[in-house]
Parts: sequence; C-alpha cells; structure tokens
Amino acid sequence: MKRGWKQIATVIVVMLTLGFLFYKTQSDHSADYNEAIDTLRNFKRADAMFNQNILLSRYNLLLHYDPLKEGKFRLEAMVKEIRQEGYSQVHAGATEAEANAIAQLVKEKLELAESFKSRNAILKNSTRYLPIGVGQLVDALRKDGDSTALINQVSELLGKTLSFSVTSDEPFRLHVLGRIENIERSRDLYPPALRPILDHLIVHARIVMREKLALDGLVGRIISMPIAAQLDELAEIYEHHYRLHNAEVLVYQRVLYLFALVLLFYIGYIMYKLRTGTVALNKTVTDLNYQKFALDQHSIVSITDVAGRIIYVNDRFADISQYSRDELLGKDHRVVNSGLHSKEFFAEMWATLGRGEVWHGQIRNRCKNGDHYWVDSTIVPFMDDEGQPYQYVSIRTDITEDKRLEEALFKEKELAEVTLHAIADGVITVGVDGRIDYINPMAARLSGWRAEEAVDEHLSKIFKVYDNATREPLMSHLNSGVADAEGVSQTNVLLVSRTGKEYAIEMAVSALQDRKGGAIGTVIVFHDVTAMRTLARQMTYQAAHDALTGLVNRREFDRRLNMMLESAREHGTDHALCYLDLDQFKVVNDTCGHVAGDELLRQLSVVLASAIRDRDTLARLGGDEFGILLGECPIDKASAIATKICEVVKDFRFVWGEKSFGLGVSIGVVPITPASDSVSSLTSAADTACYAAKDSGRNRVHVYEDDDAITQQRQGEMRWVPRIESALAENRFELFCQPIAAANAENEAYQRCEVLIRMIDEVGERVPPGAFLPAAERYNLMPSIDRWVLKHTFAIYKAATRENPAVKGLVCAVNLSGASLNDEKILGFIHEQFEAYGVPPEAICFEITETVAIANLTKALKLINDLKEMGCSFALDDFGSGLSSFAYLKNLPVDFLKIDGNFILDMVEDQTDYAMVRAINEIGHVMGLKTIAEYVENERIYAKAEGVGIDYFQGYGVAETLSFADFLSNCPVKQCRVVSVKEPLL
Amino acid sequence: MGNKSSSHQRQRGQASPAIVSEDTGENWAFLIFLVFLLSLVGLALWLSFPKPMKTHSPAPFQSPAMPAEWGFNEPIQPIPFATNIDPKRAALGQRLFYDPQLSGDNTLSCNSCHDLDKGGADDKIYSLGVGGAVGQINTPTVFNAVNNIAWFWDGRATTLEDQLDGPILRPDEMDSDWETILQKLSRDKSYVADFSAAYDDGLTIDNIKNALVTFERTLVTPDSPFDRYLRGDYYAIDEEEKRGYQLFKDYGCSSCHQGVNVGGNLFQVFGVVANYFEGRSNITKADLGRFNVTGREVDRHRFRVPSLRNIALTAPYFHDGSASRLEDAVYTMAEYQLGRNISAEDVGLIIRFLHTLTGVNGEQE
Repeated sequence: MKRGWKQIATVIVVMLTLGFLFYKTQSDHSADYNEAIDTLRNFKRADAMFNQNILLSRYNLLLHYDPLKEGKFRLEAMVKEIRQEGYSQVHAGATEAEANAIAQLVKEKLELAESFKSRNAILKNSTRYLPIGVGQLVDALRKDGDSTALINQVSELLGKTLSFSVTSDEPFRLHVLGRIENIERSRDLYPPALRPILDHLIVHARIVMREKLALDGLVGRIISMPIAAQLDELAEIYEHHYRLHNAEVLVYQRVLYLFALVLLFYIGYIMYKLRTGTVALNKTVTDLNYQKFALDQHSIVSITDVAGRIIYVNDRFADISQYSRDELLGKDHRVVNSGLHSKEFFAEMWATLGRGEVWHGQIRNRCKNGDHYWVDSTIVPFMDDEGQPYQYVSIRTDITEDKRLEEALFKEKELAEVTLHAIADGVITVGVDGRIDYINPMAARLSGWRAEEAVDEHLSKIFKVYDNATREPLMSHLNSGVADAEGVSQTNVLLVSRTGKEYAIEMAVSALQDRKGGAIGTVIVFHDVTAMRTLARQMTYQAAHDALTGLVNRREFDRRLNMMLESAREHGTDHALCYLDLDQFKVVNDTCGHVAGDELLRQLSVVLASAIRDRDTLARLGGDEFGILLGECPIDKASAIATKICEVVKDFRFVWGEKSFGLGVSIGVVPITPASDSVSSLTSAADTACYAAKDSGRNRVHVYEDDDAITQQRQGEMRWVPRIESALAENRFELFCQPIAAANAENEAYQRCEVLIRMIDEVGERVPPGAFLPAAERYNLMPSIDRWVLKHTFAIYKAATRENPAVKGLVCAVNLSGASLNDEKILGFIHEQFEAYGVPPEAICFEITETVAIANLTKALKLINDLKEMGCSFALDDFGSGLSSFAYLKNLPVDFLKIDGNFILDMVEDQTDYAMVRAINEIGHVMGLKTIAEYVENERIYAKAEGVGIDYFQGYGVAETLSFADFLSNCPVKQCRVVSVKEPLL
Repeated sequence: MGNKSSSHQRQRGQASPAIVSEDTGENWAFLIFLVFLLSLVGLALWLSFPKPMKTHSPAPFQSPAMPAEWGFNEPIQPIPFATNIDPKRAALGQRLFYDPQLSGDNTLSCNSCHDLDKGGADDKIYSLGVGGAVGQINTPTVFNAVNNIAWFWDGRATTLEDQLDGPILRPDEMDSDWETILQKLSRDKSYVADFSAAYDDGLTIDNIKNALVTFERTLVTPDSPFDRYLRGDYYAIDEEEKRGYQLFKDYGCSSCHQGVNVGGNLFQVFGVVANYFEGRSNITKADLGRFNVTGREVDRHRFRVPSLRNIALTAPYFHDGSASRLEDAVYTMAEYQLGRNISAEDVGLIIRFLHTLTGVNGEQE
C-alpha cells in the first residue's frame, strides 16, 4: 500500500517536473516584445511628427494647431500605453523609471508646446502687422512731407526688426532694441494723429524682439527634448530582457531535453526489465504448472473466494466428495460440512485466515452419499496489496484411514488413561533409561510430586521406597530402568514422599516388553495401605455407630445383644434390654424441620448417656428409637434406671430458636436371662413392651411379660406382612413415575421416566415405599410386588398407547429387586407380559442395583442378556455405593449408569464426591454408557451435574413424582428445568 | 495461470503439462514497440521545443492627417462628421442631457444652460445654477466641444469625462454628485433596461458619463456654409463673406482662431498688447484664467481661445460675458489681442464671415 502511494507520488513529481519544464520552454516573449517595440517605434514617430509640426507652425507652413492638438493627444496616449504595456509590466522594476522619465519629458514638451503655440500666434501677428503699420505710417508721413527722417527711421525699424526675426544675433538684438528706444524717444516729432500708429508699431516691434528670442528657445527645447533617446534606451532594456529570457528558455530547453532523455532511457530500461521479467515469469509459470500438476496428483485442492464460494476444485476433490465440479463451483464448503465441528472451530479458522495466517487442521467432510471422510487441511489465504485476503487455497490430504486408526487407538488409550487416572492405585511407568514416562495422579499424590514435574525425572528421585522392616532402600536396581521380566511384588514397603511423609504401600513391579520380548521399561503399581487401613477402621466404626449421634447403631446393638445373650447363657447372669421411643419427636420434626430433629436427637443422646452407666450400651436404633443394654442388671434395677431415664427426659427442654419443647419417652424393658430365646425374640419383645408403654399413656416404662398378648401381635415389621399381602390381594397399589430429563434438551419432550410404586393402606392413605419395601424385602414379598409393578406398568402403557400415540418412544424404567433376579420364573413372567400386552421391549428399561447384580452375577447376567436380546435396556442403579464397581462394570452389559444419589446430593459441597461423580461419568462415557444423576434436588446440583457432563437428570429439581397414568396420557411432556427445591409429593 | 486449459484436459496420472515458449515472435514485437515508443517520445520532445522567433514586421504607422493633404493650406479646417457613434449610448446620453435628475434639486438639466436650441449655451452673462445661484463665468457652447484641446475656460479638464464633473458637482451649478444621480436613475426602470442594453455592466457612474460624452460627440456642426466652402463648394459663401474671411486672416485673427474649431486648441493671454483687466475694479477668480490651474505667473489671465464656431448664436461673449454684441467682441479683440485699429467696414465683413461658421447639428432637426 505504501509502495503504491510512493509510486503515484513519483509519477506525479515526474509529470509535474515535465510539465514545469515544458511550460518554461513554451514561454515565448517575442509577441509581447514585438508589440512593445512597435509601441516605442510609433511613439518615436509621433514625437518626430510633433516636432515636425512645431517647425511647420513656426515657419507658417502650417496655419492651424489641430495637428499639434492631435499630436498632444497621441503622445499622451503613447505615454499611457508604455505604462500599460504588457512587456514592460513583466519587467516593471527596470522600465517604470524609464517610462516615468519619458512621461515627464512628454509633459514638459507639451507644456512648452502650449507656450509655443501662444507665443507663435503673437509673433506671427506682430510680424504680420509691422509692415502694414509701417506702410500706413509712411503713407501718412509722406502726405505731411518734410518728414523723410521720420520715414527713414520707421522704415529702418521695420527692416531691422524683420531682419531680427530671422536672425538671433545678440548684438544685433541690442542694436534693434536701441533703434526702438530711439523711435520711442522721438515720438513727439511725429504728428499727434500718427502717434497711436507709432505706439502700435513700437509695441509690435518689442513683441517681435521678445517673442522671436523666446520662440527660438522654445522650439530648440522642444526639438531637443530627448524623448527619442529615452525611448531607444527603453527599447534597449526591453531587448536586454528579451535576450536574457531567451537565454533562460534555452537553459530550460536543455534541461528538458536531458530530463526527457533520462526518462527515455529509464523507460527503455523498464521495458527491458519487463521483457526479461516475462521470460523469467514464463519459466516460473511452467514450473508452477508442474507444481500444480504434482499437487493435483497428490492432494485435494480447492480455491475459494473471500465470500467462501468455491471457484476451483481439482479432480481429486470431485472424486472424494463424489460431487461433480459443476455442483461444487459457486457453492461454499458447507456442501461437504459433516456437522462434526463446532462453530467455534470454523470461527477460529476464519479468524486465523482473516489475520492472513496459514491455517492447518483436520476436518471431517461429508460426501454426496452421506459418508464421511477426513482430510488434513492446509488453507493459505492469498493477500492483496492492502493486506486483505482475496482468495483461499485449500490443500487437503485424505486421512480418513489414519483418522479411523487414530480414533480406535485414541479410544484404547483414553480408556487406559482414564482408568489409570481414576483408579486408587499409584502407577508409574519408567523407560529403559530409568526416567519416568508416566505417573498417574495417585502416584503423583503419594510421591508428593506433580505429574508434570515428575515426568522425565529419574525414578529414584521421585519414588523413594524402603523396606519397611529393614529400612533399606529398594528399587535401586531399577535405576537401570529394567525390572525382571516375571515381576516383583512387595507388600511391606515404605514410601517417603517429597515432603517427607511416609506411606505404607503395597507395590508390584513388572517389566514392559515389546513383541519380541525386549525390555522397553518398567511399570510400578502400588497402593497406599495406610489409607486403606484407616478407611477400614473408619468403616468398622461407621458400621457400628450411628452417624448422627455417634451412638452405637442397630447392627452393633444387635451384635452386643447377641454377645449379652450368650454371656447370659454362659454365666447365668441377668441383663436387661430397653427400647426407647420418643413421644413428641414428630412434633419437633414437623414444626421445626429435620435439622431441629437431628439436633434434638444429638442433645437427647447426651442426656440419655448421662443417665446410664458407662459400661452400658446406648444405641440409636433408627428414627426416634433408642435402645439400651444394661449389663449385669436385674430387671428391678433396670426398671428403676428406665424410670430415671423417663424423668431425665421429662425434665429436658429442647430449645429451637424461640420455641421450647418438652419431651416424653416410652420405654419397653425386657430382661435378658439364660432362658431368653433369641435376639429377635428379645428385640421383638422390647418393641412390644415399648408399644405397650406408649399405648398405656406415654412417657412411662413398661416391663415385658411373656403373656403380653396384645403386644405380641404388633411385633416389628411383621405388622407389614399381612398389610402388604392384603394390599396385593386388593390391588391397593398405585403406580407413580418420575420423568428423567436429558441434558441439553430443554423444551424437548421427556423420553424417559422411572416407574415407582406407592401402597394405599386400609384407610385409603398413601404409604411411601420406604415404609413398606424394607418389610417386603425382609419377608420375601418383593417378587410379588415386582410382578404387580410389571403387570400394571405394561397394562397402563398399553392403554395409554391406544389413546395417545405420543407414548411410543417413551422409555419406562422399572426396578427389579434382588429377589426377583433370583426368581427363576421371573424371566418367563416377563416374556408372558410382553406377549400379553404387546409392549415394545425397547420401551422398557430395567433398573437393578449394583450390589444386587454383583451378588447374583451369574443369574443377573443371564437375565440381562436374555432381556437385552429382546430389546430391553438395563440401568445399573445406585452406582458407586459398592466398593468394586469399576471392575464389574466391564462384565455387566448395561446401557445406563445411575450414579448413586448420595454422591449427587453431596457433590456440591464435597470435592471427593464431585471427583467421584466425574470419574464415574468419565468411565461410563468411555465405556459407551449413558449416565443418569439421581436426587437432582435443586438448581445447584443440576448445574454441577450438567457441568460434569452427565447425560440425564432425575429428581425433584427436575420433575416431581406424578401419576404414571397421567404422565402417559399427557405425553409428550416438555422438559423444563425446575429452579426451586420442592418437597417431595409424599 | 495461462495453461489452465491444457492441464484441464489432462487426466491424472498422464504426461505432465508443458509450456510452449513464444520467445521468437515476442522479441520482434517488443523491439518494434520500443522503437515506436522512443520515436513517440522523441516527437513529443521535438514538438515541445519553442518555435523559432517570428520575424517582426512593424505595424504600419497611421499617419495623422497632414496639413497639405487637403489641397490648400487654410488655417480653418472643416469639421469632420461624427462617426463610430454607438446609437444606443448616444440616445441614452441625449436623454440624460435633458434629464433634470442630474441636478441636485431636479430642476436643471445640461440643456438648461447648454441649450441646444440656443447654440449650445444660454444668453446670460452668467448662467443660473440650482436655487437661482449665479455662476462665475460665461457658459461656453457644448457644440463642437468635442474638438477642443481641453475644457473650461481655463482648460482644467483634459478629458470630456472630467469636464462633466464641473457642472454636476459645483454647488452654484447643478449641485449634485454621481452617487445620487446613479440612485435616482436606478429607480427608473427604463434607464436600467436601456443601460443594460447598451453596456455589458449596465447602469454605472462610468457608463452614465460615457453616455453623456458619446452624446457630446454627436453635438458637432459639420455642415456650416463655411465648411461646405472649405470642402470645395466655392459658392457656399458669398464674396463679402470671402472678403471677411480674408480680413479675418489678414488681421491675424486666424493666428489663434484656427483649426477645425476656429480656436479651442490653444491658450492665449487675454490682453496681448494691452492690459484688458487694467481699470477693472473687481478682478474675480475667474479672471485669473489658467493661473488657477497651473499657478504660473505666465498663465495669469490666460484662457483657452474660444471656438468661433456658431459664434453668432452664443452671445454674450468672453469669459466674463462683457461683449453682448459680436461687433463689441471684434473691436475688443482688435484692441487687446491684435493691437490694431480696425475699420467698421472690416468689422462688418468679418462678422459676415463669422456668420458662415454657424452650422446645423442633427439634434436640432
């Protein structure tokens, strides 16, 4: 761009110079000069003419002054003209003075001429009169006679005066003047009558004497006025200027000639350069054509204009895209866009090209028939002078095969890497040089190094291990980088991290070999045993304790109870068992919420603990139920302690905010004697006794007696069995469902839901599944319930399909319990139902829990494979709650992973849970499974889960639970994100 | 780029493309083109040189009318007919000449004093200006004024345009100014239109003056009997008048009263042989004559010699209007200018001659 301006400026300068020189050479003053010289010449002539007319007038050859008048006007006009003369204006400085001088001379001359005219007239008249006057006088004197002397005197006057008028001799003038005075003196001699004539004569004679002299002087001055000389001088100045100017023009001519010559040579030079340049250009074009040919042979080439329209494609382009050339030209590359790449991808590409940079990248394109092909693309923008691209040349290589291989490889590698990334074992691979090639996050964490720091470092620097027993450094032989081919496993190893922290680890060292068996490195796998042991301890504790209150939990309570029963039988000692049920706990829970309830339980557990002996066991059995084991305590004492507990609880006030609550507790006390039957009978008895205490008025103690018949009927979950059975018999169940939302599909219809069951009790109240399902599981009622659910799900689905075709395509998830999995007849039943209702198998997804599936792996696999063959799909429920999930995942051919809801609930707060969810999600995706998040109860969880990349969401934060039949009849139901947290429907 | 078509036709895998070099033909064409270009530049160069200087042929000199040209050398010359007059401008000038708007109070026109029906002057000693103001000098005739050497008695105006300023501006004459006149005339649409027709720049002060001067150029009387006589009509004047003419020359009158205008082309002292102003009690400023213009003593009482054209019509005579009759004027002239006695008979004959100078102007008809 700058260069362009420079060229234009140069051309302009050259043109201006040429123009200037040309203008200068064209400056021809000859016309002006000639005109000026003409004027001067005419001036001279006019002046000469004027002089001539003066002389003619002087000698009476011209009898009137009109020529002088005209001459005056002419001279004045001439003066005016030389002052206005164009040529003199050019050289005003030199000629103005001259012109002024001439004007002054002319003015003077004309003034003198005026004077001349006046005097000339007077002299003429006087000389004319003198002879006449003398004649008259002489005639008169002659008449008088005797006056010869006077006649002579007068005649002499005439003669001398007239003589003087043609001469100008000074002595003669004085002589004549003397004669005139003589006559004047002798005036009295003349007769009086003649004296007036004499006076006239004397006057005229004096006039002649005076005027003749003055006139001669005037004429001389007029004639000798140096006007002509001045004019010649002016002409000389003009000529001088003219010559100077011509010399200047000559110089410009020569400069122009030289300049033009230089220009001419320059043009010739450029023509020569152009000519030689053309030859080189032809050569270049030939080379380029060969190169283009070579390029066309090898690559897919296309050229697009700035608007992105294809203006050229080579044969390979047409071949691979399956479009003909005509179909492509004028289109843009969207013709072959496969839709794989994001807008940002292309935006980045255009941004790069827009900056004039070359873009490299791999693009997946689509053929005419819809197949895809991959190309390695290099796009080169062609820039114009202003730095703007005017077309893009794209050179591509077909890398479809490479891409396929690469993808397969990548998938493998990614699986391995993600797995290595996610597993709790530390993994380090070392090259033959003993330097670390790979270190996974766990290994990095344990060693205290960051992965990127550790890579390429020597193993001994990063991985410092010692024999835990001897404290001898291990692995020193690995410095060579090659382990024994068969591998080494060590269990008692101490790892010292970068920060000096010590870990007890187990590790295995294996050699990496290539196909020929050559060593290519070593892999070290280890895991932190300390952490596992701590975890095990924690888990043992957690298994035995209630998380909320820190008290012993039901399982531990049962164990201790069993121990106590055994000790009673062995040693014959008496112990006591108490069941405590809080009376007003529900009030607190309902009015102040679960948090208050939890706090109450915590406070109360402290109160209760204070009321018993240290060696006694206080346990929280669930909800607001507590249990107490009183060792070596007879029933009377136990009853007393229970009563004391009642009082302590009665005195206890629970304060929550501004509210204060009083509580009561109903306590059932059962003696543990060597005669006691079993743990279950004891607990049952305690439950019954507690119920009895409640029934008899709350906040009191009831000591169990064997014949307590009323309480007998109400023992524990047993109550539920007949209720569930009667509900089954009377069809008192109802199907609900919870829609499952797909990610990134807002405002689209739900495509999945989970079918849920609710029981309706004898009085028509809905019972949530948490209330009766544990009982159903315990008393083997689940297969019946599962069948009821399957049968009714199919029936409702079928009915809904008839009325609402939109139901088709909806996938319903049905839970299968562990018991059903074990049921050998269930498969047959499911087949029957499919046949009976004609429900498409694709519409049904079975959900099985991870633990159940793994516990019955063989059966589960058979069932899953059979049903999948039909077209059903499977989801693994509560994934992540089990311990060895990942390992089994590979064996279970499920389609969906339902991540355990507890992770989902806590992932917002807990980084570990969050990492877990991410790991599960990644692994699920790597394995080609879709992931589902449960318990998505609010927007924060939703956002977090969405950020992780989970595919489906379920929970109150997404959609409420609703009647299954209603949901189906309303299909399709649009997804919408629920913003606020809602309480569950039940 | 050039070989697109050839590579186009070639199938992949076939022989590689080739370029045919067109060297031989192009070289000749290039050479010819170069020579053509060089010759073009050379031609332009040659043309750019200045032409050789033109040989100068002097313009023919316009010789003024020679005295001998006429055939006989007479002091009095016939009046040339007015030629090259723009009729539109002259008509405008005529209208202005009669237009009293040229005076301050719209009472006087040029014609008020230079009455064209009274020989181009009035019959008063001193003309009356606006509001009855009395002038200081006798009004000269406007006829043939164009042929004078200068204007006013003292010749203070050297152009006719300058002369216009005199009567227009003087408070005892028309007492106006050109701006006022221009404004007055601008209100008259016919003036504006006529000036626009006659002049490119329409109504301006200069054009008003020019129109008046153009009209003045038409105010000549070229066809008096004596003019006809001079032009060869021997019988245009009778024998006495011829005698009078002879006396006019013999007495020396024609020493000053000569030329086309029979005077008007020189200045002469009033009182050559005797002091005309001697004994005059009141010498006015006007009596000083050209002294007022030049300030030189020699110009005291010097006046422009008045033209004797139409002299019979323009009484009273002299700058002070002191001669009411032509005889008086002739006697005064003989006494003060010629220093001669003159007989009553000669005066009569001279006056007869002077009457032959009365001519007719086209305007009067």
